Amino acid sequence: MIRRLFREVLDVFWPISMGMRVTLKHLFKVPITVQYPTEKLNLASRFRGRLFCKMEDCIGCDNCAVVCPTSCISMDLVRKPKDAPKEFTSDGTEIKILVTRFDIDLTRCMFCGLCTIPCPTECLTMSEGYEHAFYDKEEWILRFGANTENPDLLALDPKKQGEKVAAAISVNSAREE
Amino acid sequence: MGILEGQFGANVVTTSVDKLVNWARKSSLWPMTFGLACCAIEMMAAGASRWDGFERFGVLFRASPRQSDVMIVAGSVTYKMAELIRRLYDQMPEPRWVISMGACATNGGPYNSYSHMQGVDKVIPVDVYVVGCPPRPEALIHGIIQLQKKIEQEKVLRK
Repeated sequence: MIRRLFREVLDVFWPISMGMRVTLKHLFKVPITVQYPTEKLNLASRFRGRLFCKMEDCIGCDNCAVVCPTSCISMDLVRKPKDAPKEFTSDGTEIKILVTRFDIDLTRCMFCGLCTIPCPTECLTMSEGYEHAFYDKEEWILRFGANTENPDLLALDPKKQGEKVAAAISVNSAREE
Repeated sequence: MGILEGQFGANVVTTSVDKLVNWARKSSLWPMTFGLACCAIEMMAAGASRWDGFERFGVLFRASPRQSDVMIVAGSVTYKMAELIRRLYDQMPEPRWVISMGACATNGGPYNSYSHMQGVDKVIPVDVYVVGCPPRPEALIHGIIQLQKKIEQEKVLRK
């Protein structure tokens, strides 16, 4: 009788003790939860985040826009007037085409990094930014709008380029304001 | 709030009530258990123990649209699904918010095809867009924090 009672009690408490053993084991472990807004995980060195274009090095080759699977990169190009002073990128390539508009629609970008591969001057890179949350769709079109610092250069030969240059200058100056 | 909503000017009473109501709303955002594509996997990861990104902010998944405040549209929206998304959205009680997660839900993403809707905002109003393909769990948590900031700014009793 008593022996049976002990056996039944053991049958109940043995599985509970097994469960509690797991619980107690985890009680003394360091919690793995990352308290996100205050602490952040280290990113991998090859992490592909938000695109960044160093416009001083951009030669307007359009390779990135062609290769983009989602067509999220769009740009306006203006050929540089011949009498304009020569400009070179940091790796020595001559800039022959001015990029007046360089937009990356981040809402469509799929962060594959394909656009960074054919870039001949390696000006288009992926940064480490990943916190993209916004209320308006237009907010996250990255407008790198190149060469905005020298709109005078675009104005050198207004006859040849005509309205395109004038429009580009007005757009650039409006953006700067 | 019914008939009281948007009826009063800004004074000590109404702004305090608004603050209280908004605090209550933002602290218990219950999203609907609802995932469409690979972004849903990342949404689950955000809720799992590594980030625990939902329950730390009072975000708790509910199984029914009748009990939920937020719809996280996680994934590509096909035209076939868009109808159902609209129906589920209509079944949610007000106030309700929508988070569009990922490039597909925001803008169609890589699927510019005959079957995919180019952005879920064509059928339902979206409050916060979270971008990525898919977004990291942190990015989704950041989106939820942004939504909470937006709710704080809302006017309940005030005009």
